[in-house]
Amino acid sequence: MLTVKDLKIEFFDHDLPEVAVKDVDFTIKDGEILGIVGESGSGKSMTAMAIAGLLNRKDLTKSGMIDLDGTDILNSPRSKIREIQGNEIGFVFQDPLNSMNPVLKVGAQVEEAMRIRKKELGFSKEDMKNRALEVMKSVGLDDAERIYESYPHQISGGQRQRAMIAAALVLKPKLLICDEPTTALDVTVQKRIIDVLKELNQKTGTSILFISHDLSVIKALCDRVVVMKDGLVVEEGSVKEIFENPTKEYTKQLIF
Amino acid sequence: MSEKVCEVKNLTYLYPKSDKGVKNVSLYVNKGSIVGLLGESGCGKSTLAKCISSQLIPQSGEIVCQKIGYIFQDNYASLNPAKRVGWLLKETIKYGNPEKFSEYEKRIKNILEDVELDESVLEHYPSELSGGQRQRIGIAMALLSNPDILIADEPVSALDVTVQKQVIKLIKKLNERKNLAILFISHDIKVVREICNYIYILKDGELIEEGDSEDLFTNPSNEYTKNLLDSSYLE
Amino acid sequence: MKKIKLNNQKKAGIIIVVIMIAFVLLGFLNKNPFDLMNKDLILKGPSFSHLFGCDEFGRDILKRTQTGMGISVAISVFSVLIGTFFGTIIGALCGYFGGIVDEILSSIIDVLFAVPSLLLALVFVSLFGSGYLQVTLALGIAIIPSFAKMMRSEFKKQRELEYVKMAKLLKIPTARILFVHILPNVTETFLNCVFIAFNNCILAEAGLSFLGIGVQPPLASIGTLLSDGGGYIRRAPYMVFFPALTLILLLFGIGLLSSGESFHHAYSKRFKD
Repeated sequence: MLTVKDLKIEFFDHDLPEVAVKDVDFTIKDGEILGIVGESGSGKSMTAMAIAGLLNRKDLTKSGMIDLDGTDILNSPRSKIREIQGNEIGFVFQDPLNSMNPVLKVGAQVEEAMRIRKKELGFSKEDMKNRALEVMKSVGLDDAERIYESYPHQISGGQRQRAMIAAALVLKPKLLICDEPTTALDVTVQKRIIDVLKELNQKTGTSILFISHDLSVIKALCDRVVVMKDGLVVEEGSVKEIFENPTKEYTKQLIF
Repeated sequence: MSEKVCEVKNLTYLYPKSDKGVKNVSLYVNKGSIVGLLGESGCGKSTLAKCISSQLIPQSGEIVCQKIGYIFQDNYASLNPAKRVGWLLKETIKYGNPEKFSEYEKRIKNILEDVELDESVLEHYPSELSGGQRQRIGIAMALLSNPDILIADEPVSALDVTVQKQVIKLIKKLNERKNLAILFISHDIKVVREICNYIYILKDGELIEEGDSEDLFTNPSNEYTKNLLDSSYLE
Repeated sequence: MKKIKLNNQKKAGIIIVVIMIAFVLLGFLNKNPFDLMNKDLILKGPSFSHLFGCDEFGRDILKRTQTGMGISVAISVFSVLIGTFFGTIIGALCGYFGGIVDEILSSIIDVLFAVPSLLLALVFVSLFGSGYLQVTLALGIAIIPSFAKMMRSEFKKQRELEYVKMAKLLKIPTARILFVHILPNVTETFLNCVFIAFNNCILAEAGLSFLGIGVQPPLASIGTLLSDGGGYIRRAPYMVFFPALTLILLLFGIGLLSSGESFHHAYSKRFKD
């Protein structure tokens, strides 16, 4: 469903071009969970942002191709990309506290994607609330009614991250991009989030692109993995292959 | 029976107007051993470290410790960004170990060898160094006061995996060469398993389990410990 | 190594300020005395020998503007020195220690802060009398509150950072932590405060002198020139125009210096995440 080809991203630091991502190729099939693993500066987040169409900064140059079911994300006009965001691609950020607006109730933030498309969807207030509660329950927020009415600071970090996942899923996107969604969380909470993502993938067939620096998390969740270093793809393969026979020295070092 | 370099008895520190903190914690660190303190966020492990290094004054309990060196987690904030590394090390000797100030150049040279850094870093500002280099400087500053025990509060949590491994190797080496005791505080089971001989597990301010590294990981007795191990995707 | 990065605003600011300083210094080459009256030159317009024209007593306005600007700048520089010195100390103590020290000093500062600094300076001048020394002192005291407030919030932020805790663990004396360890980290805010305070001082001094309680004639300052010229604005607009123009240029130049982003680029992380 998603094909990334020859992706190259450059940015300018004091007028000197620096390559953030180069020669990146990979595909995600329907219903697949792909992991990208790498350390800081590897370009993994840049790649994810490019796929989500979030790189519109003027100081960046992008080339190559990102094809999502026939739409070229890199070269589409902004209006087209806005349509894709939310509808076809959901995005979950690393820090659930900073990615939520502290003065809006959680429910309102989960509904946000529906609200801006209210006319096209023909949803009433009731519809939106029902859909929001439904999604929130599906990501394991059993106490959805209370959390719907809470402010972000009133719920725990794990609940916040689930709410953000719910917000990303509310329009049933085909692809969910998670950028280090569990890095800021405790391991016990992390495991529950991973379980939620797994279940979601099995039940609805949503493809997931999961970015992490932690190979063991990738191993627990993903079908295939791409290892990145300094903007380049070092190794790619099924999780099993990579763990049993890492061919590159760098991959071995990443396994703790 | 080896000598205890640090002992904490029935320590309690509660933050004002809350029930968070540490409650009735007792632990000790033997000379030359690496003791791990493991727990999730909010379990009180940093509070305990602050009490031992007298940044906080506990409400009750007793702390008997020999000379302490302290390594902070955030290697970016723990080095003064406006000063060069050489200045920082010199300042540390000047106030941490004034009797040896006359030979500070030699001391700095030795300490840089210990933490495997090149002398060229002295001329740099901390922001110009990599995370691993900064953490090595942090360790060097802690070592400059000739401590008997090093308290390392999440020293590798902010680092990349490959850099983590190098810093852990360095800490192990220092432990062996100098027979330095280390209290290693972390939330990361993999790191703790890699480095520690003896482990305490802290939850909601209380010690819930302790034991030799091997035993604890193969045979956890506490439910919470089991859950923790289970969640960490260990190999 | 430490790089000083100047954006275009700052570059323009530096150029303007240098031109203004040169303008003042060129006054020493101007042989027309600033207080010599000449009845033949009364209200004579700009000419080659008197570029800015002459005032109602036939004095050379160019020379008077140069002298006046010099005096205004000198007053402002010394006021800012007084203000920064005490403001930084008070702010540092409040921000770093917090608690009761902070509460007492901060409430005093807050009360003073509520009164506009020009008004505050006016009160001081009425207590100490007029003249440039008094004005300097009055303006210096008047800008302490705003300085203290800015520095307080900066020191409060820095106090929580780990390098300060580290310094405390090393038992480094508090005064050294405050002014050797922390102060270099707040230079950014510090410099911006200095520039803004300097501009405010120039304006306040002009205001006080305009009201006739600042610099006393025959000595000139930008304020007295404007106030003198004000009466002849229809007959001899150049009397106001040239001093006002130099004042605006100076304020503009200094304002540009405090605009835009940082002076120091080395502090920002160069590592991409």
